Amino acid sequence: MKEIIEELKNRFKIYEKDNFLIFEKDKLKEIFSFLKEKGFNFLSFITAVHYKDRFEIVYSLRNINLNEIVFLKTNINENDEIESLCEIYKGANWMEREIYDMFGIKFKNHPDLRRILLPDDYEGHPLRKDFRIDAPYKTLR
Amino acid sequence: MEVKRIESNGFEELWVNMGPQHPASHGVFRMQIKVDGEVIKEVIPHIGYLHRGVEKLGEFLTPVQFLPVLDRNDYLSSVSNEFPFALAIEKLANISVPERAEYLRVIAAELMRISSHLVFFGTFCLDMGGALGGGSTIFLYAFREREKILDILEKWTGSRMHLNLITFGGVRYDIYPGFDKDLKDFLKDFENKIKEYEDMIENNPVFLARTKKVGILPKEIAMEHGCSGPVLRGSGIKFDLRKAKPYSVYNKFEFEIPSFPDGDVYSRYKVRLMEMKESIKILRQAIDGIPSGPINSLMPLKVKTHIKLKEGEVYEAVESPRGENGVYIVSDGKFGLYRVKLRTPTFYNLSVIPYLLKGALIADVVAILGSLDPVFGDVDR
Repeated sequence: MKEIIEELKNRFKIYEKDNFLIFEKDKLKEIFSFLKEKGFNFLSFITAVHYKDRFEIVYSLRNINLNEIVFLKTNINENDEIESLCEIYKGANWMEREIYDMFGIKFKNHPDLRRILLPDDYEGHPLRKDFRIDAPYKTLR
Repeated sequence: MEVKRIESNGFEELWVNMGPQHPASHGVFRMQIKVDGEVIKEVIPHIGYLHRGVEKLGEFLTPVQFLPVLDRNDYLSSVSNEFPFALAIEKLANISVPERAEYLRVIAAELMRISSHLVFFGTFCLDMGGALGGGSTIFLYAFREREKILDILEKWTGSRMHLNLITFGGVRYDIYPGFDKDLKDFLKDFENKIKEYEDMIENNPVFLARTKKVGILPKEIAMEHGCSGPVLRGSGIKFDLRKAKPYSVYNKFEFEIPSFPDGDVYSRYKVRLMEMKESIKILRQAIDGIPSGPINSLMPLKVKTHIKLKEGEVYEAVESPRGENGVYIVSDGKFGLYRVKLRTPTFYNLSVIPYLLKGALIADVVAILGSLDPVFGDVDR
């Protein structure tokens, strides 16, 4: 396990902070292909966190044989797009749709980027920090 | 009178709408199914009918207020929703848990696991239809046993489904005198009942024909979609967080992880049935080994409404009846939680539906969907 993390750090300029591996967003595909080759083929979850001026996207992968879990993080600016993970992990489809729904983050090359939990004609992205929960409710349909 | 018939050469492709209200979908779930005759060509699932914005709510409530809300997510096994959240908060706030409380948590979680699997078992066999003794026989048998569990839980906590049992630093209610007798009586009775169910179901040729080699989920696909729990174990991967990363006191108990390599509907059904047997083992060991002592490391009755959390991020997961139920919390060290992500297992388990249903027969939709055991409070949050 340590070797894999060392190799990640050397090859992809990843640094570690509080158990999270932080990477540059343009190296996403290479990093995840590498990890999948190393047996991290269980995509546990993808989520995002909204800070004042940026989004943090958190990925969690498990290696069932080694019984290890890794958390990876990348930072993107608001209005930035990020590459989709669907080519490498098919299951990323719904997870990225959920992030798009809740945060409005767009994923490049996603096969089917629609809202998933909220109605298609909903306005706003609720988990952003600038979303007002006291805004008057707009009747849908 | 002459009857006019529509004549066409061969079948046409047809969109069929299943849901949102459908008795076999166990909740509000809509699927647009494109069929060519009997064969499914494409499926577009629509979820979100039960979305309540629980994650957003978590940012506005204190952790103590948020705990009972979590009960309502996976309403068939409420304890396994409170469990990871309590673990995460305890890690962030450095709260220790007395050993007796850990045992009580395990007992409640395992009782809930049996009750949740019984709901699966009953409704799944009900979906499988009239072949099983008129359809509702097994359903009523399963609910009869579940009623006994809910009675024990009601006597213990006052609630039947939304227990609100786990608090930070322990549990809220101690067991009543005579609990161990009630539990042991139930377990003894229930052990025989499982054998009865197996005899009834697993020699039934119609049940076997409808479940074996239907809805095959290869393990690679299951893992890429983040399927966990019985869905993953039904595809031949022995992965259970209770063994892989033992939380609470699970490392003190001896139990097996059932798994079957076929990946079909039958394997997923069988895994759940075997898991109930393993839960009986755990419950027997837990009730015999329960130590005496306090049940909460904070004040037993007056739980503080505001718990000081340190700054940081934490992910804790437990094995709920449906799989890896995790909570990812970002705390900024101020009042409340900055971000709560609920990694609810059935959202991920259900995401294989388009893969599983493609190429299946329309009669198998209900069997395949039922075998994933979705709870839509858990999917939509």
